[in-house]
Amino acid sequence: MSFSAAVPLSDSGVNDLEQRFQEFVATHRARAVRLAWRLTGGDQAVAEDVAQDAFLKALRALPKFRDEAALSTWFYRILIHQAHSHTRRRNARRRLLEVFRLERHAAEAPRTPMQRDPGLQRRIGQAVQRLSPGQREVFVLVHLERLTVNEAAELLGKAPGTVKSHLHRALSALRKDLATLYEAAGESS
Amino acid sequence: MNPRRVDEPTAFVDFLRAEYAPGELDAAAFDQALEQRRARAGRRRQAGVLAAAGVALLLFAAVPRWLGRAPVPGRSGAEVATLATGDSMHLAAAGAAAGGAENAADAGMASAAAALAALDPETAFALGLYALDEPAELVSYLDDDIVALDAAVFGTL
Repeated sequence: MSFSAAVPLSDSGVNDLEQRFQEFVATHRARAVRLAWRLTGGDQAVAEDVAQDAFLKALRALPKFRDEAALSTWFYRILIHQAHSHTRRRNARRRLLEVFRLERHAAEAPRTPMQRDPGLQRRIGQAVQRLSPGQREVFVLVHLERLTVNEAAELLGKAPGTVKSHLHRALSALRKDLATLYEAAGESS
Repeated sequence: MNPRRVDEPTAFVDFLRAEYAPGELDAAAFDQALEQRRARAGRRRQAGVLAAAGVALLLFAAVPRWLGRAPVPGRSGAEVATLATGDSMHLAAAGAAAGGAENAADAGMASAAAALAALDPETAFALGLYALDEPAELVSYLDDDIVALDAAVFGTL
């Protein structure tokens, strides 16, 4: 499964840009928000902010891309970059807050309308956030978003071997980090 | 025995995929927020152009004065410098207001916001485009007010 949805787009000139943009948003918004949500640790407000920033960049780039598949690939690269930047800024803020002993604010729970067990989601999200950026991106794309290794490699601009290596390390780290949680969930279900 | 492939789904991965997922997206609310953000981004770009125009006008006035020459035929360097400095303040203030109060600090001209009432943002934007040498863009904004304002500042159009 790739991120490039095969949606026919009209291309009869500059006046169609608005329609193309609306079609693009309608096609990709749910997946874009879900990907951003998973990459940034499970915060709905942050995920929507990241996705909207990426959509605005896509709007500006729209005239350059006649091919929707190329635009999609470019868009998800931007989205991943935005999510990475957000995580980096947030981590820097947390470190500063810890220095000033304001951990209480830094440790606030994500503002997410939860449908599942919020404690479970938060712990998984924290474990995913503890992965290195490369491991996190690869794990989310391949295992959670069901891209193939080659598709993820193309999207991230990495070699397939690097993707596999990140994937292996990410899975090992998550298994170790979430072992008790997984076992408890298995026992309770 | 074949080793398990690294990208092969496992029960553990299925568990994470099922549990670590957001709730359903409110598409209408998302689209509305995106539209608002789009409008704000447009105003910020406008504010940036206006602030840049203010700087351009200051340079336009100041550099010839440093060189001892008048930038506009028929007007002294000091005269144009005064006009341009005043106008750049208007432009920056209009830019700050166009971008919203939160952008006043970005524009670096918060103290000039009071001067906004003297110039409507569209006129200021048009003059900013002129200062940035964007005549093609200027055409779509050109009206009598701009002609009058431009004539007052530059003496020609």
